[in-house]
Amino acid sequence: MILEVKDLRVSYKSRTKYVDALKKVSWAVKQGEILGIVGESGSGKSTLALSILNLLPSDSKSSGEIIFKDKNIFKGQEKESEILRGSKIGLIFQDPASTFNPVLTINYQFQEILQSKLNIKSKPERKKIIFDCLNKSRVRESQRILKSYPHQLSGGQLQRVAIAMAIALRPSVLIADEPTSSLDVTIESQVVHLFKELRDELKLTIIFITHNLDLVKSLCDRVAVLYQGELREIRKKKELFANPKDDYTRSLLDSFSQLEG
Amino acid sequence: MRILKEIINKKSGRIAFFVLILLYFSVIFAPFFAPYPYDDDDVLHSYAPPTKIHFLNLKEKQFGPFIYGQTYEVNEYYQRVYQKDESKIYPIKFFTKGFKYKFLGLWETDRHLFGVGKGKIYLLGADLKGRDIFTRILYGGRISLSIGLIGAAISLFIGLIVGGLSGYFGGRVDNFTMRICEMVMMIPSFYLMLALRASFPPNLSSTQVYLLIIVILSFIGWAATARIIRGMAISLRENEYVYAAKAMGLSHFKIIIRHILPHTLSYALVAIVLRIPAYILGEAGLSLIGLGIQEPEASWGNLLSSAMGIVNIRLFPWILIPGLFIVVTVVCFNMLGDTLRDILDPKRRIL
Amino acid sequence: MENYKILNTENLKVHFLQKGKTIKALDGVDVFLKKGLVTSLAGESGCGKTTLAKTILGFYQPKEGKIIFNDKDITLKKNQKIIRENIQIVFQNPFASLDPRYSIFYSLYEALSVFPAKGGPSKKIKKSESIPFIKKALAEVELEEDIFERVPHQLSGGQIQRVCIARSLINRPSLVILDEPTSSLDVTTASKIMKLLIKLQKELEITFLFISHNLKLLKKISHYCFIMYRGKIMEYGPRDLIYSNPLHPYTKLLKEASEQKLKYLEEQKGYLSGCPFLSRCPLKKSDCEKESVRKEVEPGHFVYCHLYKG
Repeated sequence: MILEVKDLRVSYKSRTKYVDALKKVSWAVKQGEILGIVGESGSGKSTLALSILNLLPSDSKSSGEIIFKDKNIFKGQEKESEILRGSKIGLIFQDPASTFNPVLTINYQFQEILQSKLNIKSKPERKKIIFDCLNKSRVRESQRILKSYPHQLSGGQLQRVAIAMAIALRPSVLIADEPTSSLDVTIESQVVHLFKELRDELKLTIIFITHNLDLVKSLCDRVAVLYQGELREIRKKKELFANPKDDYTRSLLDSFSQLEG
Repeated sequence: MRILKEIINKKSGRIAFFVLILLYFSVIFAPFFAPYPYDDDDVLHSYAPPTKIHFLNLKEKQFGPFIYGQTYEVNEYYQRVYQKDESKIYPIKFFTKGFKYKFLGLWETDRHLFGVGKGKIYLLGADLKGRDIFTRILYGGRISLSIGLIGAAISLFIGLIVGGLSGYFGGRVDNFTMRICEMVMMIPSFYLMLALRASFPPNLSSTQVYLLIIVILSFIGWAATARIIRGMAISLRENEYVYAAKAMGLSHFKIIIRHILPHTLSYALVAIVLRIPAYILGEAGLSLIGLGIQEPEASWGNLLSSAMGIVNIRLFPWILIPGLFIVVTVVCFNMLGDTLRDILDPKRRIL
Repeated sequence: MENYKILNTENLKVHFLQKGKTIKALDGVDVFLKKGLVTSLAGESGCGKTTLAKTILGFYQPKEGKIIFNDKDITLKKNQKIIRENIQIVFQNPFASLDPRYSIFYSLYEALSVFPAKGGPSKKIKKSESIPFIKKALAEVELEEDIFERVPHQLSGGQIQRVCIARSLINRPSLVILDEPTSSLDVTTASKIMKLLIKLQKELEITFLFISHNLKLLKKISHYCFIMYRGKIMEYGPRDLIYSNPLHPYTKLLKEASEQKLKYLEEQKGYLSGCPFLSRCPLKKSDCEKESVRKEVEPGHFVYCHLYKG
């Protein structure tokens, strides 16, 4: 198990009281596995992504353990967390446009990451890595894309660049928080395939957070179902879809098949 | 109201709010708090210093607050030097009888908060004509504080309408209106004020002058508000509920009044509060140079006009106190405006 | 049995000027809506489906072309009133569709008060008189009466969307446009809303124009489908034919993508003439640079593509 979450509890401050976002959640993921975390709004799935990287707001309360490669990384020192972020555990957000700084070119931002995180001092070496990763992410016309500013690129192109930047840092685990929700369905399908290829080529472990059961069905090995901060069920994909044990999972699958058949 | 609670919660808001309440309360009931009428000339007490209040006189067995009488001598520079006359003791009485006035303009009465019978008490000193400055500050406050409020309210009203219409319709209407706004904003406001005032005859009755100042101030202030309301209207009109209202067949006018302008109120409220100091200073400025409220009427501005000579300030520093009131009021409105803006920040999703 | 065409557009063109460039949001669109049926408009972002909806509603003026509704051209200013009385819309984002300052009762009352309710008093209705109509409208969308006094932020996305549906139906329009009504909702909520829409459409026999990018969703509710891409219609026909036999390469790709089977597709590049899908089409020919002509490949199933000889 490369990443394990034990008894994770997170509550956010809302005006005067605390609201539970995650109520004692435990799960684990093997190396090279693609785990899908399914939940509707309010289920706590984004909180989960933020907790793993210690990105929770300062006025939140939390407890539990998050064990990465046999070491508890939860609520550790900020310095240690910073080392983790990106180079050990990568994160891809839902809105590709907000991942990038709008006033800097893609090339500048990509180079900056390689320099600061991996300390690669030689420019030719950085360039090689950049082109290599853009290729792996199936980005066409790399030269043009690198020279562009974020607003000149489409959502699909930006998300692919975001994935390229994430894998350039060689993380062992990649967390994708609804990475395709703001993309068109044709791009979505391509990005999902990209994740599969990356897992096969780079032996990446991927945690794929979404509300779209279709994606989970085609991409993931195992599926975890979150509902209002509780982990309802976590099983192999085929078993879950064929024979859901939890009531909520069942009603979710029912609604989904009614909606899309 | 929720907003009121939030204002009082914050320290700066609390102080500002209560000080302003105190000021407005005092000037509304000015005749009650004032021992003398505002035009009560008394040459014998010209530039009298603030009267000292004593509490204990063992010789005459006087306990409780009282004042001594005042006499003066003329020194070698032909200046008056005031001295206390211990032979005359005037106790300060509360809820005592004084000059007649109409309470809130309705009931005639002659009760005042305090008085000293035949003596003369100058809490904050007297001016050239021997009038009590404390009294004149109270009466002057009525004018200065109300002009600020009314002027800002009218400006806001005009700004809402012009900005709302301009932003909602866009196109040529918007272009034209904004150019006019810019022209008005270009002219330095103080000079515009003077120019407008000068275009009216110099001798007007005090009511006319009062109204005229309000009109002038409103005319200067609407443009900046209009611009910002217009910006808000442009973004608000793209909201789906506006399209839904259009699809329903609601008239443009109703859409603006019901669905666009109410959402600009949070900004508008902050804007009005932060503009009031400018209007108060505007009135003060006009009155200071003699184009505003005329004697014997008082306004904080014209009270300061006698403070324009360094000799007077040096010899009779208490004539600057009206300025202190202006400063306090302006600071309080600014603090209140800041607090309001923090509370109504859309990121906090209060409204 | 041919249903009467309640609305049809003729060569509709809507162009926008953005930063000096002309954007052809609608580039010669011919669609039609059959009375009492659900016609769906499928396409990805930027294809012009929302622009078409807003043009039908009169929010945009077309550069060229007509929209005929019940034999009248509603692009003309004098016919605008017809739109208000007969065509309504439900938007995608429930949280933006209701003015947050007003109660549910008021939002519904407002819809009633503009035009006399069909079957109600002929003058503009008073608040007290409107209560039974509003109660009925809420019951139709399966909402409790106690929602009257609530304000939008106290309701869930699903509840708000139901209110918006009630609002659109309250004056019994002949056509309701639904622009991605379930895209912002959770799966469980979306499925309930779809059930409700299907039920209401059947009961009230209203014509629906259902816009979505989700082909699987459209299969459930449509009778007729139009596939749009970059301001042009690519293919259209009865639902069953479109799904069992997609003709246009773009339709096929859309279908593949909706099953996560699409692995690769070229990026969109600018085009000068002919088929807008040219630069991405895996089956392109030299003919495709010429303007596409409509061909009927099977009865009722039309495609705009050079691959098909009519």
